[in-house]
Parts: sequence; structure tokens; C-alpha cells
Amino acid sequence: MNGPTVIDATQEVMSRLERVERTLERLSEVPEGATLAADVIALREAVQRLQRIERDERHRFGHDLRVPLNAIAGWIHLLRSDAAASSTVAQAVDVFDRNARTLTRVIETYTAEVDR
Amino acid sequence: MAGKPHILIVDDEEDSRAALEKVLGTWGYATDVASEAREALRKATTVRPSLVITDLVMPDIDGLSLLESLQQELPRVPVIILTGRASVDTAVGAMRKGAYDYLTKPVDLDRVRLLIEKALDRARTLDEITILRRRVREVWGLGRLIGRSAPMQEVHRFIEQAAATPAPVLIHGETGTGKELVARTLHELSARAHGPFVAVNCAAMPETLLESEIFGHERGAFTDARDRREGCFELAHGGTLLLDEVAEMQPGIQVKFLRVLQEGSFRRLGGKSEIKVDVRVVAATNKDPIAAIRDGALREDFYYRLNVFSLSVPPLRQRIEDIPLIVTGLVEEFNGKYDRRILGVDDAALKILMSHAWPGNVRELRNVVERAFIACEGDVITAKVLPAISLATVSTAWSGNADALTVPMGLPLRDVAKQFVLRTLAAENNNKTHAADRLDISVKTLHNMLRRWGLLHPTTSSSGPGSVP
Repeated sequence: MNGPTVIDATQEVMSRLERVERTLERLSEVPEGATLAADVIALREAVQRLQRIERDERHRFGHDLRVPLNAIAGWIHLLRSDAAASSTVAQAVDVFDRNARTLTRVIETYTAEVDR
Repeated sequence: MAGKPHILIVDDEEDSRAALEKVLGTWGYATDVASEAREALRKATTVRPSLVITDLVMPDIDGLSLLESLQQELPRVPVIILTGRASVDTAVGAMRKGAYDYLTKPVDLDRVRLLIEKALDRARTLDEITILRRRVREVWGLGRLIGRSAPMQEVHRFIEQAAATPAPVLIHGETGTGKELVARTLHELSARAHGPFVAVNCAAMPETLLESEIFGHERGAFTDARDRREGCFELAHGGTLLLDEVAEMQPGIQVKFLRVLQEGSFRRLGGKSEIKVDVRVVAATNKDPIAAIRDGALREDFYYRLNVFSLSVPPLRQRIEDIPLIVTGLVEEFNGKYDRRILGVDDAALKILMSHAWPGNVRELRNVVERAFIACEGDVITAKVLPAISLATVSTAWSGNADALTVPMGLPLRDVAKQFVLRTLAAENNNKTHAADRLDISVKTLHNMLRRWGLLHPTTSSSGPGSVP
């Protein structure tokens, strides 16, 4: 993946929030300072949640791609072995067809979420 | 593992499962497949596969839970986990739970092949070790606990049973019967075998020292505590702690110890924080624990806490038939220790060894054989080199047959009577009522005899198992 990722971007937000928190420590005697500090804490927690969601999403995306790829890789291995019979070839074609459709569906689902 | 190794493949995704099934078939393995964990477990317990390859993410029950169930049902079967979820956490979790290895999909099947070969090879080696261990045990007894007699087989069975649990064990037996060896064997056969075995003798030190020895101390806890020191409990973390001569432990420490047994945590002397430990406690005593409770030496609650499993190690005189095997083992050991090639013990010497009462049990036998070994100039230990065994303890009489008694000519009649009475008592497990019955005398007469020979405390009047040697 080129360019900054969501995780990079949220990391930057986190470090900026930490700087704001340090500044707020000096303003703790002002009532507005305390309210602001609570807002910053809530903001930090929201960013952490965002990071968790992003990680889970990536794992799910990886999983959804890896499963059909695993089937394809297994059947390629079989076709390459000398013992590959014509029935195996026919079965393999079915597997490739089915899993190629699955992969297309996975990509469509994820890109549809991006466009939403 | 006869014939083709059998591999069980578990995956809810049909195309992957079918590919792996076919590939394994071309590699010469017999296979079985399951599309979910429950079916896998059912098949595993019936076909008992040599190896299981399972997917991690499956509906209902996942691969990790299946791994846990398999470890309980078939603990020696290696499990390889395949997963589409490539995270360090899940990989670490799987390995911690005992998976043989973990591969991320799409898997490199050449790597899978290598892994299977390695896993099966390891399982075969472990099986061979188990078989060899069993064979060695049949011939020699459990490890260094040599003996094929019925009482020793009972001890072996007990150890195997108790080793499989983390429960405390109380070992009771006369001096020199090998209580520490029993505790060590328990440790070596348990799941804690890779952890430490720590032994502490409760009789050897005063209360404060023992307390610091067991629980450790912080710097400055008492005058001489210049540094912080870990106690036996901490040193034994993950392993086994043997409390030898536990009936000698002061009641004050028994209370503290009881707390540790109940809560699994303690504080060092002078320490503020609770330290949690995972230790299996084994206690040993040469005293009758019930008598020690009666005398106030052993707290009843402490005794019951320790006495989850209780084992009585038989004295050597109750397993005379083991002596030839023990002596052979000792001669072999000393050949290694002294770099000699002594073949064994001749019949006359063995007869003498088998006719001694061995009040010091195996430890005494070991000392006698070692002295004879050192004195031996030829390649066989003869009666001539056996050190003189004191007449007071020589039953001179024990033929090795539990129901027979032979005495040499010239032995004073009072010694013959004494040996005869003691032998009968031993044969009746020290039950005086039964022994008196067998000797056709009253229990009172038997008590008088034992008192006369200094073998009975003047106030003792129990007719159950007593402390008569």
C-alpha cells in the first residue's frame, strides 16, 4: 500500500492529542481547562477505538482474501503434480471459477464500503 | 504406528479441505475429513489419527477450542493449525495452547509436507520413549525405585496415579525406605518435570531459620538479613517442593504453611507484598502422622490439607524378594562410580543380605553393598567381604519366603524367640492382635515381650499398627 495509511494518520492524531494534553496540564486551574481535558480524553479513546476497528477490518479483509487463495493454491499444487487426472483438472477449474467469483465479491464488498 | 500414518483434516471451507485431502493422498497418507470441530472430535476419538491439521476460524467451535479438547483426549497427537487470520496474537495463542505449528493461508504445501514429516517423526520418537520407559519399569521398577515385589508395584501404581494430578501428597515410611526418591519420581513423572524440585528438611533447623528458608526474607527482616533472599517456595515455582520430616515442623510454621496451601500466595519475612506461586507440595515423614497429631506435633488441619494422596513406602523387610534386583542395580551403579567391572554378588553373600532385618532399609543395604564393593578384590562380591552386620538387627533368619524362618545353629534361644516374634509381627504389618493370635499368646504377653526388648514405649497399649521395627 502506497502513501500514509489510516493507522499512520490516527497515530499522528494521537501524538497531537498528547501534546494538547500536556498543554492542558498547565491550564488545570482554569475551569474551562478541565472541561477541555475531559474532551481530549474522550477524543483519544475515540481514536483508539478507530484504530482497533481499522486493525480488525484489515484482519477480516486478509482472511476473506486468504481463504479462497488457499483453495486456489492447493488445486494448483495438485495440477502441477504428475498424478493430476482429467477429473482433477475438471474439479480444479470449478474451484478456480468459484473462488475467483468469491474474490471478486470480497473486493466489491470492501470497495462498496469505501464509496459509501 | 502401523501402516500409513492417518491424518485428520478439519476445515469448514470445502475447496481447501478437498485440495489438502487429495494432496495428502498423493503423499501416501491416509486421511479423514471433518467440516467442523464436533465432527472432528468424534472422528479423532474413533480413528485416533497420527496427526490433525485444523483450520482456526470455524463456525460454532473454533480451532483453538478443538485443540484444547484434542489435547485432553489425545495428548500425544500433534496438531498443526492453518488460518486465514495472520495475526501475531492468534499464532502465539495457538502455540501456547500446545499446537505443533501454525501456518497462514494460502499455505505453501511443500512446507506443510515437511512439517507433517517432522511432527510425525517427533510423535513416533515420543511413542518409542513411552514404550521403552514402560519396558524399563517392568524390568527395574520406576526409575531408581527398584523392585518387582507386590508392595513396590503398589508404590509404582500410586506414583503414576498421583503424578498425573497437582494435589499434595503425604509420604510415610521408615528411615531409609526412599521417601525422597518417591517424591523425586513423582516430580519427574508429573507435568512439572521441567520445573525445579526443591527439598527442605524441616527437622534440620530452628523455627526462625526454617521460616526464612521456606518463605524467604526481605533485607533487614531480622538482624542477619543483610540481603533479600528467595525461599524454597519461590525457588520451587512451577515445580515441586518436598517438605521432609514434616512432623518436625513447628506448629507456628504449619499455620503459615496451611495458609499458603489454601491461598497459593505468601509474604517473605519482613515483606509487604503477596507473592503468588504455583508449587506442588509433597511432604514426607518417618513418624506415624496420626500419632504425631495425637501428640500435638502435627496440626490436624495441616495434616488433612497435605494428605490428599497418602502413600506408605514399605520397609525393606517386607520386600525381601526385591533385594537381589536392588543389589544388582547398586553393583551396576558402583561399577560406574568406581570404574570397575564387578559382576555381582555370590549366592552365599546374597543369602546373608536376604536374611538381615535391615532396620535402616535400602539406605543401610546401599552402605553395606558399597563397603563390600570397595573391599572386593575379585570380580564377584563374596560373603567374606561383607561388613559385619550387627547381630541385634540380624534376623539371621529370613529366608526370603514370607512364611519361613531359618536360624543358624548356636543362636541363643532368647534371640530365636525375639526374631520369631518380630518376624511374625512384620508379616502381620505390625498388627499386634493378629500377631499374638498367630503366635498363640495373649496381646498382653506380646506387649510384655516387646517392652522387655525395649521395642515398646511403656505407656503404649494400642493393638493396631505400631512402631515396632
